[in-house]
Amino acid sequence: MPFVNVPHLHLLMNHVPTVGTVIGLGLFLLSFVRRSEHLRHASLEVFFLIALASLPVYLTGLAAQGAIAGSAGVSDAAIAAHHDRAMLAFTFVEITGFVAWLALWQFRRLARPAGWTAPAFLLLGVVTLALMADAASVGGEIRHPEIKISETAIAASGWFTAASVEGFVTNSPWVWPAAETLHFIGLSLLFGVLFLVNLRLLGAGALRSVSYASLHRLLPWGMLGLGVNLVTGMLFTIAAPDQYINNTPFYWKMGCLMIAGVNMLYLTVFDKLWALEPGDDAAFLDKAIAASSIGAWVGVIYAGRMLPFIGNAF
Amino acid sequence: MPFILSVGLTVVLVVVLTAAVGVLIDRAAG
Repeated sequence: MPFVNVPHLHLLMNHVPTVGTVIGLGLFLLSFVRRSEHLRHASLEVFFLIALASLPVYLTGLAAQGAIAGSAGVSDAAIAAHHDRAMLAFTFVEITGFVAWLALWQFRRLARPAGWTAPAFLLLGVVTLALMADAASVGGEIRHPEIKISETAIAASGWFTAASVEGFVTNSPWVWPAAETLHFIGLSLLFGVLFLVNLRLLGAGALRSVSYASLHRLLPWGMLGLGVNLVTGMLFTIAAPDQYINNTPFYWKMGCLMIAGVNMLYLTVFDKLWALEPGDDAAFLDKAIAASSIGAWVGVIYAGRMLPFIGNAF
Repeated sequence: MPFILSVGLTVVLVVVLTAAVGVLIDRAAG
């Protein structure tokens, strides 16, 4: 019997987005005090990695909700309030991560940070931190009588709630098929771009005669595909969590996605890849990483496709 | 609105928006 279950994972991981945002924002501010572009670069990488790590935090939260909702001593109202606030905070942490990635991509191309990054991250970092702290605080109301504050802390939080998203997806018959179609289009864009970039690193055929920098320029298109798939994927998961949280291939899919996400950062920022001119051969380690990236994306696609066959979806 | 029109319009709209954002980013890269 495993000694860590999925709700336990949520309790282990749930501090990462809040503490991580504090670290990212702290490094970002410190980069101005120290006048260090390296520190600013590192802070943007932290923001991107926090966005990536927040996905399993959210999903294990859904599993924890499934496991303890309705139990004695657990406030279902607090669970719902925590979910609503976590959904809003998650939305902002993902926007911040996407913008951080874009800044890193532009940083790589221009060899210096673009002028828009400072105001953008001060604003996004502070808003994300406030929303994350609020979500975390309400999460503590679920089963911690020693820190309970008041019922007003778990009041309904406006129109952007998990229940409204669920209602939108399940009550309109066109939303699920439209999101499913977009999920395929996003996947094609994402896999198409990353397959080409990784094949260049492997030195395959005519792609070897292309500089890495010219393929690096395509990366935002892949990132847009990932964005479309994150939004549509979250619509499915929030609308029908039971199809995913008890579904083994779904966890394979998320594991592969984490590996592929870190690889995306590697492809974006590393100097030795950027320096590859037409005809240059990548180092063996980079080829191995490129091959594992293709493997991870194929794993994401395979596990996603297997949700209803190996798992219990639909 | 009929089902097929809602799905079709949503897909076209999101693809056009994604392409527009992609072109803007691409141009900003210089």
